[in-house]
Amino acid sequence: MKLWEYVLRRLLTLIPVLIGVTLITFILWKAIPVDPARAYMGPKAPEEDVERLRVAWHLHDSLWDQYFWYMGNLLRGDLGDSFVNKEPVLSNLLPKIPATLELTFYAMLFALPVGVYLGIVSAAKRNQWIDHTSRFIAILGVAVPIYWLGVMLKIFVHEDLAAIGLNFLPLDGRLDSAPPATFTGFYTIDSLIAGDPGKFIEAFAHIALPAITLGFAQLAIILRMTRSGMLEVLGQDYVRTARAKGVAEKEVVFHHAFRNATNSTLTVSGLTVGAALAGDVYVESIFRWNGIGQYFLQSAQAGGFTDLLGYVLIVTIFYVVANLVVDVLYAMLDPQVRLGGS
Amino acid sequence: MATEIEIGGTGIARAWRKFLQDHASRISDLKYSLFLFRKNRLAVLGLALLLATLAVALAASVLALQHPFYVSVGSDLEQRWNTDLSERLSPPSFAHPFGTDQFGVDWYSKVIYGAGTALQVGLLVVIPASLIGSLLGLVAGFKGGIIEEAIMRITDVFLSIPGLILAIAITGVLGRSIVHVMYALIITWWPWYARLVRGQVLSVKERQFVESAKSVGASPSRLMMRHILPNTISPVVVQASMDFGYVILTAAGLGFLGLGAVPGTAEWGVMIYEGINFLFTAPWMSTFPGLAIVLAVLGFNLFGDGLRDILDPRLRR
Repeated sequence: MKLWEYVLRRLLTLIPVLIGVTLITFILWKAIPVDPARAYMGPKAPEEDVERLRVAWHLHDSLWDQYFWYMGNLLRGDLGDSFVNKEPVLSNLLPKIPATLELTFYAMLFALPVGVYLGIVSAAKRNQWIDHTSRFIAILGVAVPIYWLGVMLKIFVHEDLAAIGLNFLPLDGRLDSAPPATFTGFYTIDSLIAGDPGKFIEAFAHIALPAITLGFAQLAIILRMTRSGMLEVLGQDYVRTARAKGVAEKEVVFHHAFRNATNSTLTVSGLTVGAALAGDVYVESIFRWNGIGQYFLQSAQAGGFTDLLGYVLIVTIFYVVANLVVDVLYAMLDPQVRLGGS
Repeated sequence: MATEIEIGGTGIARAWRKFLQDHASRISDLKYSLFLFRKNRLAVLGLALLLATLAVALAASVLALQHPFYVSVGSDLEQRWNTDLSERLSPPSFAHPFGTDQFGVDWYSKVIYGAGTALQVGLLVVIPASLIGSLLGLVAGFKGGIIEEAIMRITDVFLSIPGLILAIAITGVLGRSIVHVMYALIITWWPWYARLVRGQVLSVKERQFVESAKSVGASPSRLMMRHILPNTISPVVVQASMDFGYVILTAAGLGFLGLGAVPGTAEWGVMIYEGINFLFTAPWMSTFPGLAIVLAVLGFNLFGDGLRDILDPRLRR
């Protein structure tokens, strides 16, 4: 099987999955315990207006017709109107996406190199103190809730670092001053494009704590997988051969062994995307980060039904595509995946 | 067959010795498992944490300094705590080991009672989710064909939505309640078991002992219940004990996000959230319930890890 054939085949399998996801969101829409039209219009709206909305939303039609109406809207890119501010959900969500992406990007920028490095070193120096420390971090990563870590970091910076005068990291929001002119929506990039290094430093300082909080759990997963992948590879014959012919230990570990351990690191990157998307909701609410995670949470608390379901669809598409990219990378690195599939 | 040794004595002692003799190989196997488990220091620590959480939950009424009472709000019972406004926001002391909140409620007692809430949620989510998922996975793997295809496609759909996101959406639609949190977590958790058990069944089905059972005429239901099921159960048990911790962590997370238990309840996630308003004046409010979560989750996680090591025959010898 050629690579493009593999990609096409994987893309086709996405179609039934995405249809299934719309079925789930549709069921959730029907599971709303109140009358959605009344909830949308508010308790004071006159009954005939609410009735008109019920007709417009096909609430009196058969379930079958309702689902087709819903799917038709989705295919036209219409996620419905927000229950919170009556704007289209999509135009509520789109401007907030860069904030979330920027946060996730910096979280991975912290988690990936540190996690991979600690994983490699931990495997190479098995049972030495660095290995014990790394494994302790890996265990903490699964047991420490991200929401509690964020709160503890805030207390630590505000109380303990203040005592030694190091509390320069801001605790809330993306910026204290006006945002730079928008090109990418990433404040750290836009400020550089605008030629304002002061604003860049401010934006960078704001993102530090949320990114560390979000990245910590990811770091632990990556560390754990890299370590076990490395341990497996380091026991193989060709590594012994390399050592026997006198290759320097550093070269053996980072060059010979890590090359072949990258697969296990790659496998988890798909998983970490899902974990990061979930973690975003917590981190954005703790650090008042104005991204889609915060929007989603506020909709959940305020009964913004269309907002919730629209977010679920968008994030699922993103998640599924991210996993597809991981699979394709995997197939590029390991031809057996492609050949085995046919 | 082990050679028969003459069994002396009468009554219970005799029956007991016969039992020991009949099950000698299983008993020595169990002893070896226990030996392996004891050797794994982290697993023993996990078990200790797990038992400690259980003990705290069961003995809450003895350990706690204050006790909740319940008032009916609508059709629900809501938990309430006695307030003491002269003791509000007081830091940890002998009288209040974990400090108090803005109404003077003893935080230590609420953390203690929170263990019961956490374990209850864990139990009521993990058991139904693992039963539903395992059953569907068993049927899918055993029957094959269109039934398998249908079950596994549904599983794929559920797994394509990030778990916490689906759980938040479900509780957001149904409304704030700890019962809705449990529904949401069961719905997000069962597919993992379906996938796990189906994979396990597919590999067990090909083994020789199933082949030979089939060739001597074992019925399909006997094959499934007697030969395949027992050999798929150990990964499910490992997964369930790990998930117990993750469920506690996620349920508390939903509480923290304001989608679970009502404020004022002894639930660790809600307690961390209540502490946020007093982050710098009363940092103990968020700190202690979070520590409790870490210890409980750590317990289940380490225990599950240790369990996997002794149940996986490839790692055993």
